[in-house]
Amino acid sequence: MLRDYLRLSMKSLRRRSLRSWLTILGIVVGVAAVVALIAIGEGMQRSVEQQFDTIGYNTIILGEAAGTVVGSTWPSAPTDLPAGGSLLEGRSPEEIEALRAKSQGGAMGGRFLEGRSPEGATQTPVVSDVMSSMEVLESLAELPTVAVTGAQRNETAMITSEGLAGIGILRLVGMTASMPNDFPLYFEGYGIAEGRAFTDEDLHVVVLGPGVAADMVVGIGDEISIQGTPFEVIGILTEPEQVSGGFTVGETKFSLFVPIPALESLFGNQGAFSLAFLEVTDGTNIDIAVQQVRDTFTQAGKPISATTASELSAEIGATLSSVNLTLSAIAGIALLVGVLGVMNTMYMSVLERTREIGIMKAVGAKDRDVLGLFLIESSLLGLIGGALGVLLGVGISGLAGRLISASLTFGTVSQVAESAGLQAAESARLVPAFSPWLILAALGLSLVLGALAGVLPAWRGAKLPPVKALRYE
Amino acid sequence: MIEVQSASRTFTMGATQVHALRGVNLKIEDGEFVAIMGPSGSGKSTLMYLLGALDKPNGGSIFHGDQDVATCNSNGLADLRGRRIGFVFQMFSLMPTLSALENVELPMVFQRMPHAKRRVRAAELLELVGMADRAKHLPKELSGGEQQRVAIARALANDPDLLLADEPTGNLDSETGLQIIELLRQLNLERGMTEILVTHDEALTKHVDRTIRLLDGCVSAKGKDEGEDGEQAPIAVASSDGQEANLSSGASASSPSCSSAGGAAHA
Repeated sequence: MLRDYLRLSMKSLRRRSLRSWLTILGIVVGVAAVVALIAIGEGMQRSVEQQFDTIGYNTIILGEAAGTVVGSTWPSAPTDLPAGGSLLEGRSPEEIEALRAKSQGGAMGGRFLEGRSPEGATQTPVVSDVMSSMEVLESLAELPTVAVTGAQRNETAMITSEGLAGIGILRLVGMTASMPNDFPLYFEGYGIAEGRAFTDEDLHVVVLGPGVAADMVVGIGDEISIQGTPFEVIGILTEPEQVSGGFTVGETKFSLFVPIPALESLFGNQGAFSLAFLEVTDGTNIDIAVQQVRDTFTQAGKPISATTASELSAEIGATLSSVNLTLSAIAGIALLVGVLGVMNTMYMSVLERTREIGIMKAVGAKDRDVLGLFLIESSLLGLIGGALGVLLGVGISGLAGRLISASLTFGTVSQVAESAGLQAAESARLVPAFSPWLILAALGLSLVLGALAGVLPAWRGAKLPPVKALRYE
Repeated sequence: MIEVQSASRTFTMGATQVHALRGVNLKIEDGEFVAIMGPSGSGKSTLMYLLGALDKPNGGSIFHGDQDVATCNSNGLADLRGRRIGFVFQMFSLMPTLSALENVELPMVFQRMPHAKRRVRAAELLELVGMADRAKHLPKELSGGEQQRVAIARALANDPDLLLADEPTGNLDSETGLQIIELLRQLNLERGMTEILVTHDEALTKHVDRTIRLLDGCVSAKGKDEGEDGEQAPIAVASSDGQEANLSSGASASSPSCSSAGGAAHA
């Protein structure tokens, strides 16, 4: 029976093929928009999740709360300095110190996830407000649930060398020696090309970004001056290459890396850090652990912003979700217009075929037969539109995904990451996600919408009195 | 047997009431070939719709066997049409998107007959009306006469008791029209099928057993078939009090038989 209805409906659609196709086109556009936007949205979501997966969900990221410590986060370059720092030539030391101070002042505060009040007395190590941030971190490191910690502190420093005519103002990173090994995912691109990395025993040694080494014309064993103190060059980093996913220590090419004690000897402010990582042991509840970390720092009078990869991921996910919802709603309007088109076409069809309805009724068609025929016809319009719309949506989102990946950095991620004192290594690749669920839902939705659009017209056709229908010219 | 008992049908058009039928009584025996004649506005189309269970009377009854059209709901009427009545309309009554064969299949589709079975039957019926070689053609590829043959085949699809033909020759030239009437007559004789022919073409009356004449919504007493065979068939006419009177062929009454009070249209 259904097959007969389908055949009859197909024939009637084919007869009015131009109008049928135009009607279908309305659905195609709507469905394609919905599918494309959802697929892109899902793709973004997934891409974000993947990035955080590579970071690992066992890691807590610590950044000092804004204003507590000078130079607490990554310095951003002053506007009159080229991004990534530069080597300045021919400027007076006063000018340079002014620039340096400006650069510090422009530092961004760690703003995310702050203002959460620590609740519940979780067991915390005994700390006091005479302890430095670093000491608090170390006391946390002794907890059995903490696997490893690492910290870094960033300053902007004046650099000179024999081979350099002027003075360089560059980013100086002080960090614990084992950090690149303990948190390799954050240090992608931090590879030693020449020489060696420093150890905890080293003090006035420096590892140079390749750009710094080239501009200063120095090699392994040479000496450079940082803030007037001589440092021995022991390592030069590899040329940074684009890596996918994960965060790095930031721009490495024009940075200098020294042991934290060496940096403290230049800038004072003992025991401060800009950014620290704390990895909990497997099986530890990270949500409890992060609260414990916050509590401990608060107790020590050093309120800190601490977050986990999953919290970051959730926060970004929530933002993306609301964006996706808005976009989908707009696409939904397009779909609604398509549905109204189907309704209009079906009304026209009922009107045009009034006499045919009369004939069908004369040869024994019941009201429900007529209703069924028209409903199937409008459902077919919806379904065909839906199927083509899915195909078009796949095409559009694939293209859009490629364009977005190629031209834009992943705004949201890099922004949040920056506020955490991190930098996205590069824009994530955006691959639209087509779950079978999405495709089935799109097809199902267009079928149902098509049927719904046909209900009123089909009802009108079904209820036509046969005599009236037969007399209709 | 088909029996119409004081059937009336009134249409409301705006503020006016149009009395299309004013208490019609008639009987049609099984196997009869009857013509219903009358000028425009006489109510013959309305009567045909009532006989064909396409419409219900406002008053009175229309019995197909023991089933009263007046008491059927819309599904019941559809069943009656689908199983017991076949229709041949004046023109353009074939579904334009369906081939001749598919048009003949259509009534069987609505009776839920299996596909293979109805294919075979449709082909047989097309053969019967001499259209076997045109089975795959669409209506627009067929001549008027051919279309009516297909329509007749379709009317026979569910093996009805009654075939109703509404001006089946109206759009045909006289020769083709004659062929169609002969086909209908042949089906009536060979299959013993009751047939009612609604027409205003006086020439067709000589092919039928009996002619019922309608005038102003009533059966006219001058309804007796005056065909060559002289066979007498009873005609039921209504009297004003709804009493039936069987008039013989010899009845000379020439005035409308229903003299219901206010017989003139009270529009």
